[in-house]
Amino acid sequence: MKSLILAALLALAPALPAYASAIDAPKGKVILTVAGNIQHKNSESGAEFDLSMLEQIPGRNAAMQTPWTEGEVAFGGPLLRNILDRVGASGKTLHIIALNDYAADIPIEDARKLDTILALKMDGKPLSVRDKGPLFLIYPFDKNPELYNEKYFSRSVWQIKKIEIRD
Amino acid sequence: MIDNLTKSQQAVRRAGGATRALLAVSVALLAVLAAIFTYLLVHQHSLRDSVREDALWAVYQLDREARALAQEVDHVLAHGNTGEQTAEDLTQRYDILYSRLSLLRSGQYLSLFESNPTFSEQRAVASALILSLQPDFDHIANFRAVTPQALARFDTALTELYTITGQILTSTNATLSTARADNRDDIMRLQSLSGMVIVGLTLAIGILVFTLMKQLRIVRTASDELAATANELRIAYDAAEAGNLAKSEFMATMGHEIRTPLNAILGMAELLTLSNLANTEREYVSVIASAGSSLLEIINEILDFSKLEHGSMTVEHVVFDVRKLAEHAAHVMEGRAREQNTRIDLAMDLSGPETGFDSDPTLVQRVLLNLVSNAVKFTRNGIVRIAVSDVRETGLLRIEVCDTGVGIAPEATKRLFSPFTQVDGSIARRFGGTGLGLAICKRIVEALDGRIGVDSVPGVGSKFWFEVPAVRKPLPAAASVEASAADASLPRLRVLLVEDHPTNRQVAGRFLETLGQQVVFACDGEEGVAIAARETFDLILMDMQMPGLDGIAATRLIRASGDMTPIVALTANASDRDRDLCMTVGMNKFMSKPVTMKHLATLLGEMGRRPGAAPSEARAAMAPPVGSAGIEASRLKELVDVIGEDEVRKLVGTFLDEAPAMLRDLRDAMTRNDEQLIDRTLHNLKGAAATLGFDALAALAHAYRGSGVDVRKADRLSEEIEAIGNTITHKAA
Repeated sequence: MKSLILAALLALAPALPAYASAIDAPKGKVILTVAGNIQHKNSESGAEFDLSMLEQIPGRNAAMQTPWTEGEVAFGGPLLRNILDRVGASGKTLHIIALNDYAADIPIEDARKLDTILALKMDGKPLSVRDKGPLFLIYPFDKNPELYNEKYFSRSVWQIKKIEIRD
Repeated sequence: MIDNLTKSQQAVRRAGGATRALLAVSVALLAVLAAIFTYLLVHQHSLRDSVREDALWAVYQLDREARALAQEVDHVLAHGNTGEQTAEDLTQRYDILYSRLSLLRSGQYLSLFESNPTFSEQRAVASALILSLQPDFDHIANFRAVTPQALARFDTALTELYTITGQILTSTNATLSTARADNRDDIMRLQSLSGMVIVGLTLAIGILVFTLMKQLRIVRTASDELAATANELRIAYDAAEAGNLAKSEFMATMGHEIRTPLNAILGMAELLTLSNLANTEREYVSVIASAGSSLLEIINEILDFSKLEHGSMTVEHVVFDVRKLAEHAAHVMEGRAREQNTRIDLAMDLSGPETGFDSDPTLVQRVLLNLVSNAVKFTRNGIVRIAVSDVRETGLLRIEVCDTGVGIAPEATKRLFSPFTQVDGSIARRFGGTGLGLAICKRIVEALDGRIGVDSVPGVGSKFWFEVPAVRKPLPAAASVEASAADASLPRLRVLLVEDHPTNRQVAGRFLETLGQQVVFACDGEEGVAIAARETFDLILMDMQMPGLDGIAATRLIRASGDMTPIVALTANASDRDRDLCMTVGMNKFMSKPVTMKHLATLLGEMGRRPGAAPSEARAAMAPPVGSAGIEASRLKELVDVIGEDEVRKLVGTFLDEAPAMLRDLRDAMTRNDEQLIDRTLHNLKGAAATLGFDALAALAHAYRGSGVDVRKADRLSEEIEAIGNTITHKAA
């Protein structure tokens, strides 16, 4: 399957040179797919990222309390808006889908105006599926305490596998 | 009036009570409301603290993932596909379920589970079941292969797991629903309580507004009543004031009525002492005289006080000799002191040798006499000391009167200066007196901007003192004229006595005759004017109050005829206004009734020294010309003092205007050899000149009347008048 996609990519490469220059093809296991209204794709289904690609995107590391953890915990990962910029996203809503097919819609402003991250690490260690990984949408509860309520808890999707940009 | 006020006062108080009660209720209700609000705030705070992901949702997810894994296992068992993909899918499903396990362990949910022991048990079972599957799934993840034995174990365990998670889900839902319902009930109860409180508060405020409006109305009524009462009080006060005024008028009239017969008594007593009397009778007469004098003193005090009470006292400023004043007081009281075997000492402690001070000597004298009289009255076999001192820097004159008498208790000294007060009733009986003396002194001293006080030790003595502002000034030369010159060397004058009251007339007449004067009587104003026009006098004594033409009117007529004979007013009604009136119409002097021989002697002594009234040519001729152009400066000053500078200037002007005409008359008369006209003209000239203080001219005129006049002498008179004219004009310029 992987080789098939690679082959397809290679076949399309001369026709769509922007693909290659914008986003490289993932070398490791794909853990996030961004689809919908985006300019840059590296696959048919959209823009696919492996762990190392996501680690290269600038982000933040911040300690905070969440309803799902005990005490202060440091979450680290790329800023959501940097990922959106990376794929050239345009739209109003982010439809975020989890491994268990749980999905939540969040307004794109949550990414643009808030330092919302896709957490890859907790206390410096990679998040496993058992720890609600591999990707956990974390709002900046440390910087914006007013976000600490059920509205944003329900938007804090964990075990994320895909983001669809919708109008 | 007072009833109304009391009623409205009670109404205001009642309304105030209701307002206070309502205010208390409102405050209490507000406090309850505040408590409810505080409770809600605290509650909200705890709500915010309890912000957490929905427990029900978490439990639901656990249940869902358990069922999803069970379903996946069933699917694998049914299709027998145990490949790599299946292993991966199963592992992921288990990982997701595992990630939900932490929710059951999370402290934020523990409170919910701990409240129910069954919950805890189920939670423990669920956790144990999930963890028991971990080795098998770790094996699958590592080897990417699924064994049928493992699948069978999974099926059993997962069936048990989702049964339990289903139970947890149902229980959680029930617990949360109960809590929600309880919470809602709580809020509802609070809401209805707040509603009731607000209704109560609204009611209380409504009644409060109503009561306040009522209170406002009552207060307005009360203030109207207050205003009415104040008005009534003002009317009552006016009435009382009018009554007081009428009383004073009555007192003044009565005083006059009493003094007239008293005058007769005292006069007759004095005459009696001059006749040959046996010793016993002489003693009787002296008792009559002393009792009469006391009575007169009391009446004078009462009248003085009623006068002072209306503030009709004017203060003069005259330079006087304080030593003479003190000596006079000592001298006056000496007789009475000697009767009590008391000595009067005089101590002068002035800051310089000069003894002249500028104040009102009459008033100072009165205060001093009163204090000395008191001291003498209360001292037997002791010493009364008059001490005069001054403070040059502050311009204060201080006079102390110390005695070794009975003394006054300290508590009594405060009342001492109030009217009608004596230290106690026994003193009034023992010593007599009106108790007005010190009150009068206090008012006089206050009118002089001074202070009066007393220091006293009972049984040792008292020190009464007063201080008045008095600037030191040199004594004028003329002020040395002494009143005590009433001795045998009195001049013999022709005196016209105009007095309607027969007794007074008789008394004064006898006095004058005793003093060796030639007296002509007139029984009323008309007669006085007629006699004065017909004959020449050296002095006219004019009673002020007479039927028909009174003293003022008669004086006007006499002055209008050009007669400048000195006129002295006699009156029992010695107000300042009367005195002013006397001086305005041209009287020269003023004498308070009852007339005493001593006063008359003093007066005659003064009149005798007037060059115009000089009894003999020798004395007149010898009178040396004083001042420039023979103008007697002190006389002019006296005139200015008495009738004002403007009046004097007018008088002098008139004199200078008329003098040439008089000289013309004189020369005419000389030409015609009209002796009588010559004499009258010289007399008129002399009178006018003397009145104005042109002593040299007066002396000349008088001398020429006796020795005869010729052209040279007439020229001399013309020169004199011209000299006066030049001097006056020069001075005015």
